[in-house]
Amino acid sequence: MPAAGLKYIGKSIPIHDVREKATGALRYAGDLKLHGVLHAKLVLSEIAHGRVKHLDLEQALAVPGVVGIYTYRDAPDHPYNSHQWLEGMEVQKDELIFTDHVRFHGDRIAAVVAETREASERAARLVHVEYDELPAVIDPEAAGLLNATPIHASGNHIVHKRIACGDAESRMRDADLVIEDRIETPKVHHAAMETHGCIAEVDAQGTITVRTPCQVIFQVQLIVSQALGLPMDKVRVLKTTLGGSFGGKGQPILEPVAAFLALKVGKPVRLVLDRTETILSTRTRTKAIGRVRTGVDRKGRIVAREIHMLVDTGAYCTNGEVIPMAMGKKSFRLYQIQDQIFEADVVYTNTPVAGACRGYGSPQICAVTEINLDHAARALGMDPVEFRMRNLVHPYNADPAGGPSIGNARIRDCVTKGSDLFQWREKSARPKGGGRIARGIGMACCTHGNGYYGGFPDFITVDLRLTPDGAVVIKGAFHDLGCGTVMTMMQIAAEVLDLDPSSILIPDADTLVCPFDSAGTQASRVTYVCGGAVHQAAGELKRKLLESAATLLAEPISGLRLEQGYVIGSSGRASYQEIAQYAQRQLRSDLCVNLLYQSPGNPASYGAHFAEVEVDRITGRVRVLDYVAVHDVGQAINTGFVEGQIQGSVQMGLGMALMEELTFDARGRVTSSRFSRYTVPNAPEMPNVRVALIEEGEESGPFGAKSIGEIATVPVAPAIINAINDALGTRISVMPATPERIVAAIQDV
Amino acid sequence: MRLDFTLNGAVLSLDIDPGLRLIDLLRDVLDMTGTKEGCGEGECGACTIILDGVAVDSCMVMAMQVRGREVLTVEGLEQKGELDELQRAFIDSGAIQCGYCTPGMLMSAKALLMRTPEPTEHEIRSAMAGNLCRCTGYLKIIQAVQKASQMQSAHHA
Amino acid sequence: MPELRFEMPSNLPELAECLAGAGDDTRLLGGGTDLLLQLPALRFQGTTLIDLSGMRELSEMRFEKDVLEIGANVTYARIAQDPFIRSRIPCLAAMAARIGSPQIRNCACLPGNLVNASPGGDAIGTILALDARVRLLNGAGAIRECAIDELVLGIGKTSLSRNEAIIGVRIPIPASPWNAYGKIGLTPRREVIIANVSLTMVFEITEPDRRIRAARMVLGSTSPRAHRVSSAEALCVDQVPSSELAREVAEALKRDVAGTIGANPAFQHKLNDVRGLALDLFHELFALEL
Ligand SMILES: Cc1cc2nc3c(=O)[nH]c(=O)nc-3n(C[C@H](O)[C@H](O)[C@H](O)COP(=O)(O)OP(=O)(O)OC[C@H]3O[C@@H](n4cnc5c(N)ncnc54)[C@H](O)[C@@H]3O)c2cc1C
Ligand code: FES
Ligand code: FES
Repeated sequence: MPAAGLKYIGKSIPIHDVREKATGALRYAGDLKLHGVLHAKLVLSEIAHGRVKHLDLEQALAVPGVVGIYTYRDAPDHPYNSHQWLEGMEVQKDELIFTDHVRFHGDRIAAVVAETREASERAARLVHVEYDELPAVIDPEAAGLLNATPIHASGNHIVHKRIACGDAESRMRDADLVIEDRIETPKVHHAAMETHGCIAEVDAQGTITVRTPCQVIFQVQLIVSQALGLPMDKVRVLKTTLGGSFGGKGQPILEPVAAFLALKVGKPVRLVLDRTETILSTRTRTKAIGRVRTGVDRKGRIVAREIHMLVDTGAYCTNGEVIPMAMGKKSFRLYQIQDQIFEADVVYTNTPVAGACRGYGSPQICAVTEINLDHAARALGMDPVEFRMRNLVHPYNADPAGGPSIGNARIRDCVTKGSDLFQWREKSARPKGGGRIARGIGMACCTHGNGYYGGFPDFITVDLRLTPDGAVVIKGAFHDLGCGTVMTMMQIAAEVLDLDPSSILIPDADTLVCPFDSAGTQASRVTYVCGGAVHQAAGELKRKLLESAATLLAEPISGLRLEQGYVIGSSGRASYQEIAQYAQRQLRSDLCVNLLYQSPGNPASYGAHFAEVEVDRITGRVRVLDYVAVHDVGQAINTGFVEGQIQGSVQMGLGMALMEELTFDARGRVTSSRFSRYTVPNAPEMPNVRVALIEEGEESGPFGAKSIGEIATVPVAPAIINAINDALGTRISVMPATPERIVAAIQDV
Repeated sequence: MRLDFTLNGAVLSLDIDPGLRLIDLLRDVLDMTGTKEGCGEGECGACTIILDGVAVDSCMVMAMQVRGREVLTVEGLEQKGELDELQRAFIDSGAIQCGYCTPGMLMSAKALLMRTPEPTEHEIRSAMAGNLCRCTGYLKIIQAVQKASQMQSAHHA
Repeated sequence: MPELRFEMPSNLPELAECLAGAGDDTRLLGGGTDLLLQLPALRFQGTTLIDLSGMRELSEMRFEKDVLEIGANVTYARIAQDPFIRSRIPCLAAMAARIGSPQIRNCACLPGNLVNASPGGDAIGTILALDARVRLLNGAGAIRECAIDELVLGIGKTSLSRNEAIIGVRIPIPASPWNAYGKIGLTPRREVIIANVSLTMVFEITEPDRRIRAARMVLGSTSPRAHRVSSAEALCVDQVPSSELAREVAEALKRDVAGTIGANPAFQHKLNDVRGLALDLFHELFALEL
């Protein structure tokens, strides 16, 4: 249903390429067939840490069809940091295309290029690598120790970060109770169903074109040019359809490799990973160990809080310096806590590389703090909902750490509505069940941002044009990850221009075609910032349309209105097609807009999730029985997409809460590098998720909209863990709460 | 090696490398890329096709094993330009986000409805247990299968 | 470059001929759900696959007086759906219904599980609990029968020679349907899981007094190969099923597992799972409050 007074905003319209997806006609990167394409296969480290002593390529080179094998000896020595998205950003450049100092199980040593996929696979198996193995650091708490083996020359400790407000230390002394926790969140695989892959080719002028499922075309361009030491205009990036990303395809990983190989062989090169390679050698969610102390008074007010996060970025830094700040900022924008210290230390370990993953640190810090708050409520003998209601922020409260305005913050509405829907009161009155099966309920609140405003440059340029056949073409660096970004933009433009979305075309992002965008599909900025740009640009286009129509219809603009592809005046009407043609012929003008849009702010999005679980006290097995999620989204542009984001997030968060974790053997080799060992929730695991939205509007967002895609993952794990703790009276502190850990926690009670 | 089989209603006779899996034959040789590979080990179901009326993972079947048999892929669901009811229900229910799991989901759902035209929600969840989706949380997919089942029974009533 | 070769017998004499010519690099291809995981290696070694899928006569289930013979090509899906098996040998139907996913069950068959001889192979335990025997054909065209514990020797080890194939599994039909199967996953999911523990219980019960005359209990995934637990079986003989008996059996099974897994920390959770599972099966069979 569209929102009141609106025609397209709020309506559930299917994703723009839905028909091609339903028929299987749409091609993803791995489905493309380029003429003369060669196939690349990576040679990855089989150990967690060491030096390559000897590389024997002889047998591999003898495989018929092998075109070449390229190793760390051939690759350029231009270190880069794949997380860098803007020229000039300060980053630790510690990555190379290939390395002989392998720092994790899955690090890249070499690649085989061959005429067929089979030949490349055959040859890669025949590359013999001899290593000098070094001690591997797997436990982040051991990484910074003096005797730990250095993973990079700079040492294993990367950075310390701090955000503070008020005087937490002395206020903590006034607290009636101080509740302390140590809580661990796992390294998680994104598990987009499409594995990583891309295709690179070089033309006669030496321009490299990379076709890739990515989140930031300009970042891919930047990193490929840096890694290869080429000017940026020698690199063109075309976004292909994404089969899911969740942050996993945010950093360019394979693009510089494929581009390098294509340059070497002078032919198109296809590099597509299998699932195990994707689990090992792409990115993971950052593992974190949080220590938190919360001081409360008897009335249930939080008087002070101290948080420390130990952040495990894996073998390369990527976003390790940024993610702690992303975590920290959230802890000042959800509850009214005037006296608080957030600190973080970031370390390297010999484990797969961490990067962006849906929520960008928020699910980790939310798990740490929201589980701790339930312990606080329990210690106070207070209902967790009631306890939170005494502390949650109100709309427009100031961020005590000095961050941008939180805006029309409606978390209290989320909690109230969610408690009702979930029947929190009734359910909390129920007995837990004293036998084998225990029942419990839990909830968690969360906040997340809307872009980079206040942190990094956040702007986008978009091009809108009304074509002489009455369609609108929008060019912008949009990357639909499967969430419906493109249709969202179409609906915004459609509403402003009163035009059916089917008359709007948004081509796939292409660095040659799209005007510049400063940050891509990251940081929950797309609806709020990019949507804001489209909203404003469509307004501009509307103004131009009306101006031309006014001349054509010989009427003042003030008397004109738009309706379903027509400009209507008091005496007559003209179709957009007629007006565009008239503008070209009579006014020597084209109805187009090129608009630079700078993000106006960074309001906070909010949500509250509620879970009911059943736990088997003997086996530690959990079943999530009921789930309610309420989100303050300002205004849903497409209600169906918003629900889809929330339901998908619950699947992902449920995995983090109960089953998903990269595990290691004693030497640091990954023991869960296949879907049979790394299990993600399947259909029988999913509870029904009831969704409700608070749509009170965010002034600075397009039609009042703010973000949803990332935030919806944020509170899932703590809501479920809190429910388990409620059922059992336990204090589960390590996620995922596997059956072993649950039974151990029961024994600790 | 010689391989004769029926693909989406068409009789094919090919000369193939017997080392190919069915998924390789479909995607690499026949360029029918609707069938996806998400794991290559029978865990994700993105490669699901229907073989003689039942859903199988095409990454778990050798191409030569389909000799003389009938294969139905996502490309064969549309009939004379008309989408299958399941495809329409997936579209209408918002069951498709990134779409990578969709062909496999459709084929598992199709196999289910061919055998059990009016499945319970529990039966749907079990029938889809071998198909992973990371985008939708499955709920709209389950609704879509229910909707398609209703559309079909309305048709046949 | 070695290439994979493919042989397609369509009847027993042709299969025997293929077996007669089998070398070290020959493998039988059943449903392929274990074998295809090794396909890259098999291709590069130039393996010969003898594909059984064209052998119609192996796709049959035959019910004789007191024996059910399941042909080598009968899939788990068919076993799980068969009304006779469901009512008379529910443990077999339940085991088959819980192998992998629907797609896997539509391909995979019993012999592959036995020959793959994984400690987590679910069929091995149930077949052992049912005291079934396998029928083997050799390259000379001769057929012999052997018991399951003579066939499966250890992890990945069987007594099968390279020119033998399993053509069927012969299962004595239990006199009464008092049998059940359950498993709990290595990972926390409920469906599509490798077993952390699997358990088959087969009881012989005399009706009027509801007394257990004999019991066979087999644990899977807790030792290199599925094994009977005689201590637990002995507890049941001449007993009437009760909550107390269920708990005693659960403890006995747990003690057995403790003995087989030793101190390995990765395996300790099997102790909880086996206890839970034993109680589940007693509850399922006898509707006991546990
Ligand atoms: C996703 C997935 C989930 C799975 N889940 C389970 C599960 O829950 N429980 C479980 O136990 N297993 C599971 N498996 C493993 C597998 O499905 C079973 O072991 C199955 O029974 C193997 O049978 P198959 O017909 O596919 O064997 P194949 O893969 O064809 O063969 C396996 C081995 O047996 C040999 N062989 C096959 N047939 C014969 C024959 N007639 N005579 C002699 N040798 C023969 C082959 O040469 C090969 O060595 C799973 C596998 C996958 C991919
Ligand atoms: S690709 Fe076949 S099941 Fe995943
Ligand atoms: S829609 Fe993306 S995996 Fe299902």
